[in-house]
Amino acid sequence: MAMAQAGAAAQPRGAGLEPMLELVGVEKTLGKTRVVCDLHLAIAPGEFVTLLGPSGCGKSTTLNLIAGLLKPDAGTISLRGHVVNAWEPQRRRLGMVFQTWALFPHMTAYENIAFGLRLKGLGMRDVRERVATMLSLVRLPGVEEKYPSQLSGGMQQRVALARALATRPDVLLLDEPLSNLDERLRKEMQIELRRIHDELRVTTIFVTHSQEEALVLSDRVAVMNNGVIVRIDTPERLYRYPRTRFVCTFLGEANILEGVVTAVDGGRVLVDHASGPLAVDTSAPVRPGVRMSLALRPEAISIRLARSPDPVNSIPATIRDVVYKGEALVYYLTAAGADLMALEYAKGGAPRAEGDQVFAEFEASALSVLEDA
Amino acid sequence: MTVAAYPTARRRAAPATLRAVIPLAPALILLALFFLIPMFELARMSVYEYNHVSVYVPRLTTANYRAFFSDPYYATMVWTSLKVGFFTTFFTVLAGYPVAYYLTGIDGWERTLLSAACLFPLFVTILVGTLGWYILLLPFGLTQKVLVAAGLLHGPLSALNTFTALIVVMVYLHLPYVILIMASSLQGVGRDKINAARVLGAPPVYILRRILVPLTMPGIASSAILVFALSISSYLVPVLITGQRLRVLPMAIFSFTTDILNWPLASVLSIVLLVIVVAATYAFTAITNRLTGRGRWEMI
Repeated sequence: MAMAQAGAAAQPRGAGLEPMLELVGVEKTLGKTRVVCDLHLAIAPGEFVTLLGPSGCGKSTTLNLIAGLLKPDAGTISLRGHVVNAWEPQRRRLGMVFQTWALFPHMTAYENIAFGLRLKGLGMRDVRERVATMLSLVRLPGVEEKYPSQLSGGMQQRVALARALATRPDVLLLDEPLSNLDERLRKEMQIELRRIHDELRVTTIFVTHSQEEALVLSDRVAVMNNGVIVRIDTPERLYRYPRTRFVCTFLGEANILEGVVTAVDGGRVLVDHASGPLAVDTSAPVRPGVRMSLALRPEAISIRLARSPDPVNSIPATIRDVVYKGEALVYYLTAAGADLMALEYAKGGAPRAEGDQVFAEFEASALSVLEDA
Repeated sequence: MTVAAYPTARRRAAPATLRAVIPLAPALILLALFFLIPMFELARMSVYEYNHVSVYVPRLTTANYRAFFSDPYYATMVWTSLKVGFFTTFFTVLAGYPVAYYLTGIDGWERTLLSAACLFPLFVTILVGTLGWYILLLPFGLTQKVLVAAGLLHGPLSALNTFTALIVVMVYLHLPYVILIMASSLQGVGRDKINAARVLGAPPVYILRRILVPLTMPGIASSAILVFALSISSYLVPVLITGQRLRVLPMAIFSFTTDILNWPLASVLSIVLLVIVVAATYAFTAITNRLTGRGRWEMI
C-alpha cells in the first residue's frame, strides 16, 4: 500500500505562503513527564499534515495544545498570524474530531451538527441549509432525526466529521478518528477523508499511530518520538529516504545493513558488508573508513536462484521462512552477517521454498544512508 | 424480543421464569421477612383503634387518619418536613455537583485525598458527626469565637435551634452521597464531549446547561432521591440541632411510639412519610425523564 503513494506531489501544498498555523518552541509537561519538548511546526493553508508516532510520543498532546484544551508551558502557538497561547478553545475557530467521536448522545444527528452553528448565531434557515450540505458532504443524507446510539460506528464518525466541519473552521484537527473502526471501514474512510479534503481544502492536522493512514492521507508527515518531531517531509520522501533508524523502522519495514566505507567514486560508495561489498548511491559526503548504516526496503529486494550477470548488489542467502500474505510473499533470509526480509509480489511464478540457496539482489539506489549509525 | 422468532420459546417460558426466580429466592425471602411483613403490620396497625391500656385493639377504624387530616398541627409538621427535605436536597446537590466535577478532572494523590475526604465521614456515625456540629454551634463555642474575632458577630451565637443550622448540618451529612454518585455519573459523560463542545464554541454555562446537566440527569435524580429520602426521615439531626422547637415527622413518630404509646397514630405518620418519599421519587424520576427525553436516546 505504501507504493500506491509513489508519484504524489513532491512539494508540500501551499509552500511559500504565510503559515495558517505555527508552533515555535512549544513545550508541555504533564505530571512529571515532558510530553512535548521544543516543538517547531509550520503548516500552510490547505495543507494536510499528519502527526505520526508511537503511543506516548506527544502527538495527541500537541493536538490538544493547538486546540487550546491544554496550555503550553513555553513557546508560542500562532493561528492566522495571531499568537493564541492564552485563547480559549472557543475563540480559535477550529474543528475537531475525537478518537471517541464525542457525539452528544442526547441530541439527534441534526442537533449535533447544528450545535456549533447555533452558537455562531446562525438563523434557523441557514442552520438547516448548512446541516443538509454537511450531511451530503459526508454522504449521509436522511439521518437528521437519528440519535447517535441509532447510528453505526462509521455513521457516527461521519456525523462527528460533519459537526467539526459545519462551522467552516480554519483548521481541522483529527485525533485518531479512524482507530475505532474496523479494517474495511477504516480504508473506506481514508478515501473519504482524502476526498473531503480535496473538496474543501481545509487545513488539516491528523494524528495517528498508523503509518498506512499517514502515507495515504498526508501532504506531509511529521514523525514524532519522545515529544519531538524527528522528521517532517512528504510521505514519499520519508519512505524512500528515512535518514534515521526510528523513521525507517516506524514507517514500514526495513532491513538495516552495516559496514565500513572502502571507496568513494562520485555519488557511488562501496561499503564492506559481512556478506560482501555493497554499492550505494548517496549524495552525502563520506570518507573511506567511516562506519555506515544502510536501510533497505523489503520490496526492493529481488530473489534469484542464480546470480544474475553483472549484478550491482547480490547477497548469497538461505531462505529460512516463507510467509504467504495473499498479494505477496515474505521471505526471511539468512545471509552472512545479516538476517534479511524480502517481499515479492505474487505474479504466478513458482515460489521459492524454505532451505533454498538464493541471491538477494538490489539496486545501489535502493540503499539509503541512515544518519544515526 | 426474540420470542416471535422462535415458536418454541413460548413453551419454555414458564420453566425459564422459574429458573430465574430460584437464584433470587434468598433476596426475595429477606425482602418479605424484613420489609413486606413489617410494612403490612404497619398498615394494619394504622387502621386499628387506639387504646391507652393495650396500645391498640384490633378493631377497624378510620379515626387515626381522621385525626391526622383534621389537625393543622400535623399539616404544619408535614410542611416542615417537606421543607427540610427540599432545602437539604437542593443545597446538597448544588454543593456536591461542582466537587464531583472537580473530582473527575484530577488524578494521583489529589484524587485519592478528595475521595478519602468524601468517604471518611461515611464511616463516622451520624450521631458523632452531628454532635461535632452541635459543639461547634453552641453559644460561646468555636464558631462564635471565630466570628466574633473576625468582627462578623456581636453577642452570642444563636445559630443552634434555627432552621438554617439544621439545613447546614443536613447538607454536610449528605454531601458524600451526592459527590460519590455524581462523580461516577459525570465520569460517564467523558471529557471528550465537554472538549468537543468547547472547540465548537460553547461557553462554560452553556456546556453545563446543554451537555452536562442533561447527560448527568440520572445521577442528579438518584442522588436527589436518596438525599430527600434520608433527610426527610432523619430523626437524630433535628433532635440534636433544633430540638423540640422544630417538629418534623420522624420526631413525632418517635414520641408516639416510645412516650405516648399511640402506635396507630405513629403508624399513620409513618405511612404518610412513606407516601411522601414514594411520591417524590416517582415525581422526580418522571420529571427528569420528561425533561431530558430519556428513553429516546441512549448513552454512548
